[in-house]
Amino acid sequence: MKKISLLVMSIILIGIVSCRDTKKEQEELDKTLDTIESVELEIDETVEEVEKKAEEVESVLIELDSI
Amino acid sequence: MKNIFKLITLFLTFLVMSSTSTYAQGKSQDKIKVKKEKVNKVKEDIDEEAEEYQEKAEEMKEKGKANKDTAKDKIKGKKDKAKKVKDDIDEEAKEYQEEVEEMKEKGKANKDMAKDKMKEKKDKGNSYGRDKGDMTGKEFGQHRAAMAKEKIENSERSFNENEETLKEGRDKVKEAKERVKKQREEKSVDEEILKQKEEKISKAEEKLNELEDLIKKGKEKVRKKGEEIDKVIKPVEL
Repeated sequence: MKKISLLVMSIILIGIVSCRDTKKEQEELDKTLDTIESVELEIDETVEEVEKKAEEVESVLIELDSI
Repeated sequence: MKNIFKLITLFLTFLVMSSTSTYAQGKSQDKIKVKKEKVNKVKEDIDEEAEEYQEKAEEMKEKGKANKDTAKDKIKGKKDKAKKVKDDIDEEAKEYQEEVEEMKEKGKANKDMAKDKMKEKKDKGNSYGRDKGDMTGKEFGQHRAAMAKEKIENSERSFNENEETLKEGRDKVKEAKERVKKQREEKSVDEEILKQKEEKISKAEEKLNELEDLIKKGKEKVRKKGEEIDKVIKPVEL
């Protein structure tokens, strides 16, 4: 009886510890993904802004050809 | 003889009387005639005057009618004009309304499209942004980091291409400046036109400076973001 109790307690302990590790890992992964996504979004916005300005420049440069 | 004398006297008396009466009668008749003539003349005058007045009245009436008609025409013309102006305004307002509606529709469509795109992006982000699939957390972190790195490389490539545009633009501005300088020296082009050309060159220079600034800032930002990605990858990789 004593051995059975010890076994059950061990299983519960292992379960708790393993669950905590998975949760922590998921939290870290989510954090990393949040950072990556925000970086991607900012890069997209920056590139878009530069592209837009480059288009403006190109249209102005066309006018210069006629000078 | 006495009788004859009497008869002669009587005859003479009668003759005198008759001539007097005739004279008087004639005189009276003349008077009447004169009066009649006078009356006739007066009557004629009155008639003439009346006729004149009548003519005048008719003339005035005609004139009044003409004026009335002119006034009526004028009013009608003005009314027509006002109606036309109103119609024009209504039409214009309708056109504007339609334009506004169209723009609203377009805006709504664009908004919907943007929403759809965002949703798509979000879904896409969720699909390979959060869904690990068969990968472990570590593998998935590396995978996403590699994607972000690729994005950074693409953005650097894009910046380099835009730098090429910038360089070409600078060359074009330089050439345009030289052309304008030459034209001024040769006096082949009007000064006003030369000023307009210089304004265009200044505008182009301004845009080029803005682009240069954006590229510089963008490159710096991307560099920092790359470092950020490197930092966040390490804990996952360990």
